[in-house]
Amino acid sequence: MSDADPETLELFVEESLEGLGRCEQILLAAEKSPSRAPDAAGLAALFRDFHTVKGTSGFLGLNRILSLGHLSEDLLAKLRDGSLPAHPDHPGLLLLVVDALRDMVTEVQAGRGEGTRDIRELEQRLRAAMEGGPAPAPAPQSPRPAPQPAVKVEAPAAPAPRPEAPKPDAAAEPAAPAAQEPVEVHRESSDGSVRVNVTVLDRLMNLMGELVLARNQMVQLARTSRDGAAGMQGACQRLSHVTSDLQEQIMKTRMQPVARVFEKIPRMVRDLARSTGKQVQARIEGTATEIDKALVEAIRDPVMHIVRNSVDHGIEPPEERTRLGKPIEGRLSVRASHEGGLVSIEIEDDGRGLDPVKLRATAVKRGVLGAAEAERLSDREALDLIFRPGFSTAAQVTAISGRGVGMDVVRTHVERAGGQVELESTPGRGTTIRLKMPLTLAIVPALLVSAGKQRFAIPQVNLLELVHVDAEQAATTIQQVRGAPIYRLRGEVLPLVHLTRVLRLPERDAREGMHLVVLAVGSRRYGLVVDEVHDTEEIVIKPLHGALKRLPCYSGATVLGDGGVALILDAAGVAGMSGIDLGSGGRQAQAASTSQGGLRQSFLVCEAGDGQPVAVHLGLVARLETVPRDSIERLAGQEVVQYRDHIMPIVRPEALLPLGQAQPGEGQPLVVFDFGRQVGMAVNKVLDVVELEVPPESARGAPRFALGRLVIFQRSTLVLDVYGLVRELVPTFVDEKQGVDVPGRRRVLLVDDSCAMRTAIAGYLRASGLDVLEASSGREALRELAQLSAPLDALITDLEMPGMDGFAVIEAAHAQRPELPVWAWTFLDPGQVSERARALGARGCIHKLQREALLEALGGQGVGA
Amino acid sequence: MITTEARTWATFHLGEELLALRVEDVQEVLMPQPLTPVPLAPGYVVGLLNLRGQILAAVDLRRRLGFPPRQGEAENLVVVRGSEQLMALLVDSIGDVLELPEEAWRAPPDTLAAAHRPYVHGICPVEGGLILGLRTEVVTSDSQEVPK
Repeated sequence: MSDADPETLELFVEESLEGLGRCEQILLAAEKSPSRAPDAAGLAALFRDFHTVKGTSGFLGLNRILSLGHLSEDLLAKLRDGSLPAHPDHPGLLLLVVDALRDMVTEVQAGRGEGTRDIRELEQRLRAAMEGGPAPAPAPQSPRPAPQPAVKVEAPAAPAPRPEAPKPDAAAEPAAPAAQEPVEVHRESSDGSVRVNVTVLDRLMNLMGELVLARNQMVQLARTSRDGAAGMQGACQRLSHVTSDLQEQIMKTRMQPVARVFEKIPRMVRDLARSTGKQVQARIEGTATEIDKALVEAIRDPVMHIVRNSVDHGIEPPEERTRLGKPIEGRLSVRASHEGGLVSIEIEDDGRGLDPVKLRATAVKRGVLGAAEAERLSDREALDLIFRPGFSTAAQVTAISGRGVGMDVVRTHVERAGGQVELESTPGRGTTIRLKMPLTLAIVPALLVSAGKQRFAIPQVNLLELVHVDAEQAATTIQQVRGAPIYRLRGEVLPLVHLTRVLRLPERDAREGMHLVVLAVGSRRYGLVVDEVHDTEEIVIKPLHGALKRLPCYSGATVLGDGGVALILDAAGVAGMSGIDLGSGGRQAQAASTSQGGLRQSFLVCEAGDGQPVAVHLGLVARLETVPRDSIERLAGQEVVQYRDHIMPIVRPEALLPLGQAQPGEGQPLVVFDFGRQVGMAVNKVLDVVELEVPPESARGAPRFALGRLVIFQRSTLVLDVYGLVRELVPTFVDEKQGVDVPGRRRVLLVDDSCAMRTAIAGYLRASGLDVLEASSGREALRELAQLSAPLDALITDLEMPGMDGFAVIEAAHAQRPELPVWAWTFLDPGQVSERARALGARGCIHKLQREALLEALGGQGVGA
Repeated sequence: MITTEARTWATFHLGEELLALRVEDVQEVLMPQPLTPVPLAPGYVVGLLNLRGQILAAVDLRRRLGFPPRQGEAENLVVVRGSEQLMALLVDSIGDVLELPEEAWRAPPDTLAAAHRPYVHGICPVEGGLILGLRTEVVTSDSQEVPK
C-alpha cells in the first residue's frame, strides 16, 4: 500500500483516469480502422499514457497497477519498434487492460488500495500476445463513449464512502474472464467530475455578471458615503473579494480545451493534401490550452480557414519542394498556448511564404490599390494586404480556398470576438499567422470615455495609450491629409476619428484641447478623439437588441457602477464607419519581418529616471495605467497604490539601475505586471511598442537587474529584468510558482508533463532543502528558462512528454545556458537513453524511482551545498 | 374565430386610442426611467434602460406604429417579453386589464393602413369604443420597416 500523501494520490487518480480515457479513444478508433491497429502516433500516445500510469504507480508503490501497466507497455513497445507484428485482437485486449486499470485506480481513489481484482489472466494474455502466441480471447463489445452535450466540470472529489464489503463483481468471481465484466465505463460521477448542462452554466454566468455589477455599485456607494455606517467599507471589501473569487471559478467552468477545434485539423490536412497532391505533416500542440466556450466557437472557422490556406497556397507541391531543396513533406504546425492573459494560436507552415513584391503587384492588378500607393507600402504593410477585402493570392483559384472567403473575413471574425491577427512571413521560408484571443468574452476590463455628454466603454484589449493634446499642441501636431485629420505621435502617423462626428453627437468646443484614445485594430492603429477620459471598470458585456445589433460601432452595452447604461464601442466598427482607411499608414515604420533569422521580440519602451529609455518584454506587461501622484502611499517603507480593490506595490527601476532621479509629475504612469499578484513599475512616460530582432550579443555587459542593451530609436536602451527588480524591491512579493527566495538556497527547474509525478518529486526535493520551480511541458520550461532571472542551479527533465520531448528540452536548454547542468530523469532504462541525452548536453540520466540518486546528482553539482 | 376561450388583455392609451397586449406577454409596468440614448439607432429606439441589471431597449410605440408624435411626456413603460428578449414600450398611459373572449375580436377594418396590419391581432368593440389588439411578437421584432 502506498504511503504517498493524499494530494499526490488524488493527482495520480485524476491523471490516470484521464490518460486511460485517451487510450480508450485511440483503441476504439484503431478497432474501427481498416488495419484494426493503432497507427504510429496512436501507439506513441498509448505508450506514453500507459508509461505514465505505470511509472507513477510504481513511484507510489501501487504494485499491481505497476505490473499490469508494465506488461502493457512492453507489448506496446514491441509493437512500436516493429519487433511484434500488429494483431487485430490487440486493441480489444488493451481495452480490457484499460478497464482493469481503471477499476484499480478507482479503488485507489476510494481508499481501498488497489482492490482485489484478479489480473493474472489478463497478464497471461498480455504475455501470450507478446510471444505472438495464441490470439487473445475475443474482446467484448467495447462501450462507445456517450456523446458529450454538456461541458465537463471539475469538482473536488467527494470522499468516497467506505463500504464494508469489497466490490461484489471482483470478489464474487475472482477468475471471471474479463469479457464478462460489466461494461460500464463512464464513472465520471465518482472521479470528481460532474456533467452540467451548458444552459445552467450560461445562467450562472449571467447571474455572476449581475453580481459583479451589484458589487461595483456597492463599492462605489461605500466610497462616496464617507460617514456611512461603520464597517461598511470592510464588508464591501469582503464582498468584493468573494465576488472576484467566485467570478474566477465560474469562468473556469466555461473553459474548454482548444482540442475541440484542433482535433479536426489532422484529418482536414490529410484530405486537403491528398486532393492537391501535396505531402503535408501536421503537428498539433497545446490542445489542452483552455479558452472560453464561446471563443472556442469563434476561433473554429478562422483557424480552419488559415490551415486550409496554408496547405492550399503555402506549401509547395512535392516537385517544387524537391527543386528548392526542401524536404518533400511540407510542415504545418498549429500551437496553442497561454500568453499573458491571452490565448495565442499560432499556425505556421514552411511553404513559399508571402512575397511583398508579388502582393503589391496583385493588389494593383485587383484594383485594391493604385500603383503609386502600392509602391509606398513598406514590406510589412504589403503583407497586410492579404487582409483587404477582394484580395486573394492564389495564382489559380482552387476548389478549396477560392470560395470568396478571404483573410479579411478571418480578421473580421477574430476581431469581433475581441482578438487580433498577426502575420509574419519570409519568402521561400514560410508563413506564421498568430491569433491572439482573450480568455473570456463575458467580463472584460474597459476604459470609460465620454463624448457628446454620453458615456461609452472601450474594451482594454483594443487600448494602446491615452494622449492629451492641448489646444496649442493641437494646432501643430494635427494635420489634414486629403481632408482626413492625422496626428503625429512620436513620428508615427495616426489617423484620427472624432467619436462625436461618427455618432453624430453634439461637438464640443475645440479650444478645450482633446483626448486621444489610441486604439489597435489588429496591427493597425488609430486615435479616437473623445471629450473626456474616465476610469477603467470591469464591465459585463450584454448583447444589444436586434435592431441595434446591426450598428457596427457597438459591440454591446453594459451597466456601470452607478447603475447607468453605457454602450460598448467596437474599435473596428467605429473605424469602419468613419471611413478611415486602416489598410495603410498609421503604423510606425519598423523593420519588415521578412529579414532572415534572429529572434524577434516585442518590447514596451518607456522613459525612466532622468529621461533614460528602458524596455521591458511586452509579454510581461498586463496593462498600462496612470494614477494620481497623491494616491501613492507608503506602507512599511514600500510605495503602494490602491488599485482595483487591492494594494499594489510600486517599484522604481532607478532604485537599482543607474538611470538618474525621476522628476515627479502630477500623474504617475505605471506599467502593471502580473506575476500572480500585480505590481506596478513607475516610469516617467510610456514611449512606444517596438518589435525587433534581439542579437545574442545584446546581453553582454548588462548591469545587474538588466537583461541587456538594445538600440531603439537610435538610443541605447536597457532591457529591464522585471522579475529581478520586483524580487529585489518587494521582499514580500512571493510567487508560489516561482518558489520562495531564500538566499543561499539552490534552485532547480523540474519539467514533467505528469502533474502527479512532478508534485511528488518536487515535494521530495523541497523537503530536502531545494527550491523547486515546476514546468509541465518542454515549452513552458524553456519559457521559464528564458524569463527567469534568478540563478538556476540545475534543470531536471522528463524524457517522454507530448509535444516537445525531453531530448529537445535538453538540446534547447543546453544551447540557451551551456553552463546549466541538465539531468534527464525517466522511467526508460537509463542505459538505453543516457547516451543520446548526454550527446545533446545532459550531464546524465537518472531513473525516476531512484530519488536518492537524483538528490545525490544534484548535490554533486553543488546544489545542496 | 371559433374558440370561446377568454384571454386577458392589458390595455393602454396612445392619445385617444385604446390598445391592448396579451397579459401573459407583459412582465411589468415601469414609471418613466432615465434612458441612455443610442446614437445612430432607428428612430423608434429611444434608448437603453437598466432593469435590475438587464439592459432593455426602450421603443416608442407611437413611432413604431406610425402614430403622430406625443405631446408631452410618456407616462409609462410596459416591459414585454419579445420574441428575442425583453423590451420596454413607451406608452402614454396604462389602462385596465380586460377579459376579452377570442370570438369578440374582428378582423381589422380595410381602412387600417396596410403597413399597420402585421402588428394587429384584431379589433374588439368594447363599451365606449374599440380596442386595437397588438401582436407582441411583431411589435418587438427587430424589423426596421417602420410604418410612416
